[in-house]
Amino acid sequence: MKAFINAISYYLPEKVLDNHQISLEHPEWAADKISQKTGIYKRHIAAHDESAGDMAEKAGKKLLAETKVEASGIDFLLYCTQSPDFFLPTTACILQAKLSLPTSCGALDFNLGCSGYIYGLALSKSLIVSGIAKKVLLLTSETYTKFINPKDKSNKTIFGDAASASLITSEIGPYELGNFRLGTDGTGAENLIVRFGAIRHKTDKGTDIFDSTGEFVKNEEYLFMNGQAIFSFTSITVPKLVNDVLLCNNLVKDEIDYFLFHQANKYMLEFIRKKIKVPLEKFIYYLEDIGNTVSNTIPIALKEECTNKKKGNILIAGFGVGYSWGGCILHSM
Amino acid sequence: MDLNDFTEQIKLQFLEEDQPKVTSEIDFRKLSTWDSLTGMAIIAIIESEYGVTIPVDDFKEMRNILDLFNYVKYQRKD
Repeated sequence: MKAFINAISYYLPEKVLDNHQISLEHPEWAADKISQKTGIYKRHIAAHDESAGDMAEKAGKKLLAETKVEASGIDFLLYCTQSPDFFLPTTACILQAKLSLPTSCGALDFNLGCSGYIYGLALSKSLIVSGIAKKVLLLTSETYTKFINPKDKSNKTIFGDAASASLITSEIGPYELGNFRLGTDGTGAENLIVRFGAIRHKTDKGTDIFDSTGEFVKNEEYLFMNGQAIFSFTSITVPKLVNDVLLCNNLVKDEIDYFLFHQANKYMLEFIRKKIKVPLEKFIYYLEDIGNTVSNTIPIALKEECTNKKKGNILIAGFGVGYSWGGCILHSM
Repeated sequence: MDLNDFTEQIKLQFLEEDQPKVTSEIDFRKLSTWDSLTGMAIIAIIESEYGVTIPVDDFKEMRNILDLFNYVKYQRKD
């Protein structure tokens, strides 16, 4: 049995943060320099009282409305987030009720970041091919901006909030899911982390740490990214992942029509693109107006840049926090 | 290791407007498009192409491509 992505919808919160505003807060960074390096002009920011669960609900409702699929027909809900509404219950259970999905629907959260959409597709395909589910609703939603310290200009320029909803079934749809390769290296856990606030450091208070030049480095209550380590990890892991995905799908690089990678930031993606020698016209970018939306970048770029536009073999790949990575081939019809 | 090949590889990590200005001896930290991202790319390309990982603290001491070249050469014992 085959599995297909039948539809994708997404939701962006209303509030926008553009480079001009960042430049006003951090005058040492000019607005045009931010866009030149990151490829990002603006990002959407979840409202103070808007949770990732709220955004996932909006994306899910949008998908049901746009596809006219009956909520009663969904028999599995997968929800990817690193910003759970509560420690417990699982947000997916709350979303089952809010989306009026049947009580016979399985539902679970899984905690992954930039690799999350690939894992979600792999799990969805497994559920369908094994006969456990017929119609899977895969939701991704992230509010990283709530993890970012106001003094942390680097992360502020990169991340934006968003939610996505994808319908995966065995009925023929725009994208057939090919074979997957997944990977994990937990030795990189320290390099992208929000250390305090969960169980291990539940009541610990963080302090702002600055380097010798007065630049903000980290505060353990907030998102910390060791940019250098992440860059090294990506530059070594992604080319290998691309090769592995090609091999397990019996394809060679020239048979790939488009490459769609997690939209981390333009500078790093350009570095990878040149390294694996992919021409610009085969390499998909969609981050100018939304930034790095973590597990949402791939579904949003698929919807905006590929659906009804790009046919053939699309190699998609996600990589980041964990470290965790994954890739697969979509046969776009 | 060849200094010209090495310089060409490092040059590609700079934004296009600065690439013509890059030589093995120019202080790359003074170029207009220099920032920590460029540094990350240089460290990453050296790591993958030459198998040498430059610690960030050591990298901060380096001012030009010749410094990098000598460091990598020494580490590889070429």
